[in-house]
Amino acid sequence: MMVQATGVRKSFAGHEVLRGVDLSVPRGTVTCVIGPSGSGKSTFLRCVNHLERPDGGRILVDGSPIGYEVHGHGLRELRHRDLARQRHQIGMVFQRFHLFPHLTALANIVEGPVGAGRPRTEATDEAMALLDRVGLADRRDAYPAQLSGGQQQRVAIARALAMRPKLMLFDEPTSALDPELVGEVLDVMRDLAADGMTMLVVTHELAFAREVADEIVFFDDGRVLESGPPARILTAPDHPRTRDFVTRVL
Amino acid sequence: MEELPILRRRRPGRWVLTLVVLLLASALARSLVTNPRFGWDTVGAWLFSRTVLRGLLATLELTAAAMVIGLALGVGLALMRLSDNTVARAVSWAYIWLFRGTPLLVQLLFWGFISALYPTLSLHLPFLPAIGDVPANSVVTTFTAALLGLGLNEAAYLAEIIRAGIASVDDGQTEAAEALGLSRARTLRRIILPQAMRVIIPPVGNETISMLKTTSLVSVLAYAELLYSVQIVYARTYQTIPLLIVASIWYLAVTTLLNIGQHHLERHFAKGSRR
Repeated sequence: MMVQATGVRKSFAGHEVLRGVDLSVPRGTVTCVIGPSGSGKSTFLRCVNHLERPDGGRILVDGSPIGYEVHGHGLRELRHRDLARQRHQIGMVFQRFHLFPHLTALANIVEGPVGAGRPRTEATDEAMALLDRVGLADRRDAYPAQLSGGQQQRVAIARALAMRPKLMLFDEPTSALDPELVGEVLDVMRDLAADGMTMLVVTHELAFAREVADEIVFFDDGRVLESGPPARILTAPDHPRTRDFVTRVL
Repeated sequence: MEELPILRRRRPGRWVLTLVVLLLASALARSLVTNPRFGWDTVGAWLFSRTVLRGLLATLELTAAAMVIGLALGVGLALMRLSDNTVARAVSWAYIWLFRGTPLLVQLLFWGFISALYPTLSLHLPFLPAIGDVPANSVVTTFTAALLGLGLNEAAYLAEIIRAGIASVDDGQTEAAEALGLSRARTLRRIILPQAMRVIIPPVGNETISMLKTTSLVSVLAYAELLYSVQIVYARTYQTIPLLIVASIWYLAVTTLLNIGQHHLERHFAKGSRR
């Protein structure tokens, strides 16, 4: 398993957002997380790379507990430096891109690898290849503000890929985009899935989920209500709430 | 209708204002030329004199050194203030409370008279032998006293400016850097501070210009910066006004240069914000 989460809990100011989430993502597969807003999908995703610290439960990525190390008979919280090393393996794409606005598209992509100690020339060559892969080789010197939303998100995907992650997290990657720009981002993600990247995607794009996901997980009120292959979850779900959600969104 | 040309709107207010300004300016110019007490020949004689230029150099040195101390310490204080370490937050808060809460002039005098408070300087830590035992006046010279007074005070103000600048950067930027696995230091240096600069530069420019003029307070410590240098001269020659004009001309000249520098810095850090 690339991701194995058991009993993940998280509260914000007394409000329980995650009430014991169990979820696993097999290596080389795509799992799409769907569900009403406020159901805890994004919070869970942010727990997987420890941007949020879970209050309870365990999350293993590729067999290692994220944010902790085994110490004697317990798990001890990692120092920032060691956590950063774990995060090198986990790419993340945000709803609102969060590109570095003062750096060009190319510099955005190069920043991570160089920060991790790779030689700049090598990182630059690889960044150019990645820009080419997301179809933006000609915009290498553009600043984020000069790019459309779809282009920014494609650069953000390239930035995450530059760390050569073994897992990619997507947090509603197309929700902040104008409708006509959604397609270009989904195309890049489709490519990535076809290449065998392990992906955990929080999304409202059920058509994309149907086509690309190996498994769909339906979140409701801080829990996984049900999960299964797209064909079943999107057409014949067990649970009335899932059925309700799917008919409303599709 | 279509053939009628478009006529300019009349703006009588402009003409009236221009006339008033011209009248006042000519009156001022006349008095500058005809009032012998301005002593322009004296101004000319002293403007590039060694005493004045040495004072100017001392003022520039003090300004630069105090700003460097203020910035270095200010970044540290700002980071402490924003850290999740309670002790660091409290220390930073207390520092800013103390140094913003007392007049700079008083602080300068304290540093100047430090030997009255601590005649010798040594460090006594529990369970350890005392380190050093030197006369305070040999360590805290007039220059050091001036520098400490200006730099430590400035740090308190710059800390608040830098804190505001860092806080103005979207949280998403830190998250993106964290998710990439950048180190804390690199996140600060490469991602947060360059963006905070856009907010930080204009007030720091103001502070620098203000510091240039504030160094004149150091004259109370008898440190020969620009103002004290001309004071020494007019105490001897009684040409008070011409020599104050000499000092003012230099303050204005340097301020103008600093303004130009600030403009270029702002342009540099606005990278990426233009479409």
